Parts: sequence; C-alpha cells; structure tokens
Amino acid sequence: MKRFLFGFSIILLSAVVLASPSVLAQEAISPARLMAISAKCDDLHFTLQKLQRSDAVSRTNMGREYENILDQLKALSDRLENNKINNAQFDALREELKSTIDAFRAAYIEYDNTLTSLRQIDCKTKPADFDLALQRTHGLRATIHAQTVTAEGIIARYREEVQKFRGELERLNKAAQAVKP
Amino acid sequence: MKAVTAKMRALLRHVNHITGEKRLNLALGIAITAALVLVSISMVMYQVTGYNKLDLSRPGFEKERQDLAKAAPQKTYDTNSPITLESLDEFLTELATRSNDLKIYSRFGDNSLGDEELGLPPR
Repeated sequence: MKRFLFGFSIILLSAVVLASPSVLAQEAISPARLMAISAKCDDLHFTLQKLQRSDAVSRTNMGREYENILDQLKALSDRLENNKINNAQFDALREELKSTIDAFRAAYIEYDNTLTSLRQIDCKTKPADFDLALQRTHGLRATIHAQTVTAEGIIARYREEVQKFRGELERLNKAAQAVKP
Repeated sequence: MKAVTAKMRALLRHVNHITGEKRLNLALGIAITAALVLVSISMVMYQVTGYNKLDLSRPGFEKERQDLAKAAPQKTYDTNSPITLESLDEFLTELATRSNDLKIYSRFGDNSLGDEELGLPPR
C-alpha cells in the first residue's frame, strides 16, 4: 500500500511539473481569441516589429535624458561638497535615482528580449503560445513604465529638496543682511 | 611567483635575441593578437550589456535615427563657485527643462500591447 501511495505521489508530482504553462494557459484562452490571433498573425507581427523599433528610439532618448539629469545632480552635489555644505539628502536621492535608472535599463533589456522571442513565434500555428508570450511582454512593458514613474517621483522629490534648501538659504541671507549695520 | 618571474625573464631574454624580420613578425603577431582579444572583449560587452539592442546605427534603422531627439547640449554646471540663490535657480530651471523633456517620450505607458490596440477579443 505504501509503495502504491509513493508511486502515485511521484506520478502526480510529475504530472504537475510537466504540465507546461502554455498548456495550462490554453484552457483559459477563449477560442474566439485564438482564432483572431491566427487570422491577424501577419498584422500582429508587423505591429510588433514597428513597436520594437519605436521603443528602441524611446529608450535611447530617455536613457540620454536620464544620463544628463544624473550628471546635473552630481554637479550640484560636488558644488555643495566643495562649499562644505551637507549634501547627504541630495546624494541619497541621487543614488536612489541611479538605482531606478539601472532597473529601468535592465527591465528594458528583458522586455526587448521577450518581444524578440514573441516575434519569433508563428501565431498562425501556435496562437496559444503567442498569447502567453504576449501577456508576459505586456507585463514587462508595464514594469518599464513603472520604473519611469518611480524615476519621475524621485526627480520631483529632489527638486522639492533643492527648493527647500533655496528657501533656507534665502532666509539666512536676509537674516545676515538685517544684522549688518 | 618567483618561477613565473624567472620564466618571464627567460622569455624576454629569448625575445631580445630575435633579430631582423623575425622580430618584426613577432611584434606584428603580438599586436594582432592583442587587437583580436580587445575586439572580442568589446563585442562580448556590447552583447551582454544590451547596448546592441539600442544601437540605431545599424543598417535598416535609418528612419529611427531620424526620430532620435536632437537633445539640447548639456549645460555645464559650475562645481566650484559658492552656492548662491542664482546658481540654485539656474539648477532648478535646467532640471525642470530636462524633466519636461522626459515627458515628451512615450515612457512605455501607452497600451500598445493591449487587446484593444491589437484588435483582439478578451481572453
């Protein structure tokens, strides 16, 4: 009995492991969608090719802007340091932005690789596999967007910190002028 | 370590004894090998870092090259002068310009891979 149970468990476990995600996903996809994917296969491939190319342009443009912003933040940080002013809060935000930009870059590479794989799937004969890869690519694209939103938030916080610092400097300047005879 | 140094010295002594055409051939061989190694390293880095995905100078990307934004030259921000209100204003203006430039791009937020955009019925 024990042997039977052990053997049964092994078979059950193997079945779970071997059930590929695409097979599981096929059950969830409506036949109408699968038919539409097969029918529009050429159009879908053309759209994806266009998207991949326009995304490369967006990524290049954004990457350059991010680099410029990081350079600018580094310059302010150096200037504060050279004036012996505590720049810890600015440096922390710059590091946070740098990590987010690195994550943005990594997310883009993963997205682009997945998009390339998606374009290689023959959606006429394998619409379910195509759909599964499409969902994954869609999710990765959303991840890149999330990184850009995070980066924007950090830049906004940095600006607020600089404005706060500017206000403090202005107050100190006024106080110094008031003390002067 | 000593053995390696001794071997290197012996090799150098051997090389010093090579003369004429053989010496030129050896130098060329070393130069070509070094160039091949450096090119291989840079090609691996080009692939591994993912820069190959962004290289729009490849053939077939003429249209994309035209779509690249002509970015305004980066203003150099003085890092040595004293911190003044004017310098902070200058910094904030430049930062605002750069942040607004970022908003021009799609930022991958469009629903290009959504069912509606692709004309697919829901799952």
